[in-house]
Amino acid sequence: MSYAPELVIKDLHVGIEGKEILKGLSLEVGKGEIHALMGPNGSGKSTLANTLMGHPKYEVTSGEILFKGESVLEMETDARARAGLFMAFQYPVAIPGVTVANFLRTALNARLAPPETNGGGAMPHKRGIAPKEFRAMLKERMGLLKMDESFAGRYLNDGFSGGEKKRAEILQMAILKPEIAIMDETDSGLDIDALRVVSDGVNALAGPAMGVLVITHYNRILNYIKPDKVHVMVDGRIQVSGGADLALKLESQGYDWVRDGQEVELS
Amino acid sequence: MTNATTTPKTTLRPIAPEAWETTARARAQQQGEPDWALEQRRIAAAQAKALGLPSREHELWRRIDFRTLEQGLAALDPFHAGPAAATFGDLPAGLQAVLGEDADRAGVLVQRDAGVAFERNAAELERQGVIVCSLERALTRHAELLRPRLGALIEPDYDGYAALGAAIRSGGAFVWVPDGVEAALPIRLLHGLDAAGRLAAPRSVIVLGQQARATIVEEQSSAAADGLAFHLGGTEVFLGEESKLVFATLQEWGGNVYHYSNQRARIERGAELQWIQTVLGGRMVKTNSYFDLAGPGASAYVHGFMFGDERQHFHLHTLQRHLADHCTSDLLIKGCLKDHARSVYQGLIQVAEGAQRTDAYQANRNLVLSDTARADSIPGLEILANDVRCTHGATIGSVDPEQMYYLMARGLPRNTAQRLIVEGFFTPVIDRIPLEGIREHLRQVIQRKIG
Ligand SMILES: Nc1ncnc2c1ncn2[C@@H]1O[C@H](COP(=O)(O)OP(=O)(O)O)[C@@H](O)[C@H]1O
Ligand SMILES: [Mg+2]
Repeated sequence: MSYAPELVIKDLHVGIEGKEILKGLSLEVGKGEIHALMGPNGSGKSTLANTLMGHPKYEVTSGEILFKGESVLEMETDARARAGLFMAFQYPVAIPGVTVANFLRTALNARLAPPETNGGGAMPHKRGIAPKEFRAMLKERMGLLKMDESFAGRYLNDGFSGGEKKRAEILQMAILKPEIAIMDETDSGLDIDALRVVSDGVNALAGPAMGVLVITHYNRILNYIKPDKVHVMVDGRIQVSGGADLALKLESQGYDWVRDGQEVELS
Repeated sequence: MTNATTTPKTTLRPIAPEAWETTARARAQQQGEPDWALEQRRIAAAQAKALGLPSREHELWRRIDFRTLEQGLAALDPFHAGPAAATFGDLPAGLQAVLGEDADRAGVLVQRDAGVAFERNAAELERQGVIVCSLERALTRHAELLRPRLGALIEPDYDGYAALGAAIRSGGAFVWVPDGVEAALPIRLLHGLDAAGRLAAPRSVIVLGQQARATIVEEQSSAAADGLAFHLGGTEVFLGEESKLVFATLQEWGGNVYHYSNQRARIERGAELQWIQTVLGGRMVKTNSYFDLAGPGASAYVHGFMFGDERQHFHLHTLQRHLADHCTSDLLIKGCLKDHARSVYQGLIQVAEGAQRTDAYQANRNLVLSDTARADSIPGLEILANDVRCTHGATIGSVDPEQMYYLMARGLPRNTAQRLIVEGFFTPVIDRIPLEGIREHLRQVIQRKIG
């Protein structure tokens, strides 16, 4: 069986302000797969997520990121997103004065627009999805995430509780339908009910058309979102990869045995 | 700092041809303007002559550059008035478009250059005893209502321009809402400048009786033209006890227009003013907006924004003057600047002796989109009472790169992301504008300006 993973990361080295954070990281995520990336605080998980999205602060010093077979390193953040990469932020940013509905419609229209009209940066206005159709879609996806209808009229992430922010991230994922979704600590700050709702949402969206990389440093969320593969990251590198049972081992034994440098291949 | 007469004038710079004032007075007399109003013009002319052009060292004039206007002022035509329109449909299409489809659900007054071209009060307003007419008409028909008010709030010797404006006054509106009446429809006042070379000096007087309520939208609009034009405006607003007024003044001149206006509101006991001001057009724009909280428990909520591009230069000066106890004033002015645009916000809160339990707030927030644009903020407090709560704050910054990254991570191209952030920045002000048609129009103008 020939396997062409959607996202291929090869020997990636990334620095920020001259300090190397990712030190040769390799990872492949295919459509229809759910991967979990675990690792202690400060190991570089968010650095990886933001490097994949093209945050200007992170400098790729060597290595490669291929999305659908093509390098994204020269692509700006917005082009990567329109191509189908998505990151649910660990710390979503507030955009005062811009409603969730207005933002999502603009984002969806950008994603749906043919690539050539987006090349120059200017977006065709008043095209794309009809407002009525969009409202129906938004209502349906908000229902999936058990969000109140009034949410659509609130300003994006402005005054949102921690849980509301995380739900809003998943709502965005549900509207934009990415091909690869990276979820950076989406579980942190969620109570158990919210965690269940968010996980149900992700499970409903995940399927043969989408690959998911769940970043977390607890395995709590992995009780709800079942990963096909688990990777353990320490100090800018993936030290161990394995199946779902690896998460259980981490739970009982912590990260120290990985840190100690035992390269164990579990599967 | 708020009164020009306190600044020593070194050299007197004559302001305008003397013939203007005599011609203006002769024309006014012909139209039947009462003697007291003619006398006001004469006194103002003498003051304009005595004051001359404001000194460039003056605290309120040194941050804006009117030199090009000063050089071209004498060549402007202060008397040209657009032809009167018998029906709304006779107005130029551009002005009809500004008023839009809502126009027949409002009391409407349209000024073209130096004269009112169209007045149409709505039947519903008429029945309520609400008056909407040109100041000229009011001077003959409602002189007794105007006499104690015209010129009562804008000091005739405020500065040379203000005096000139009073001397050659041309057009403006009179709005009267009787005691206890809640105006059934909004009132729309539109001023257009038809071409370059024109000078208009409208003076408007707006009066709400006790417990009256009204919504008034004033719009200033012109197409860009080659050559100078000058709007020299004055608006005096009187809020009777426990009245409530929503007043929006929206400026969208072409890039050739110089704008200087003085706006005054006197708010009596328990009355509430909601003031919304937007500044989008013009070349050099200067406004002084003074809010007098004159009776106990009066309140003023002021929300404004300016958005400058190219070489536009705006100077907004506000004064929240607490003259009585238990009053509230809450002001937020937002500025966004791109290209080589520049803005100055200069605000002052004054609390008079005895104005205890004052609650005054002033904020100025600026978003600077280019390295060559500039925003300045000059806040001030003068407090003579001891039991007050007064705060002011200003911020000047560029677009937050993390906000840009967040929006771009959802696929928005860079300029769409920036447009959304700027729109969002203005939204709290736009949301206060009473008519949806206008809100939508402003969003489009902002979008166009962002480019
Ligand atoms: N903006 C930044 N500036 C400087 N150092 C940073 C920045 N972001 C992250 N780092 C450093 O990079 C390392 C990895 O951080 P991060 O990727 O956030 O880890 P994780 O998400 O696994 O907790 C940490 O040592 C952190 O201090
Ligand atoms: Mg992190």
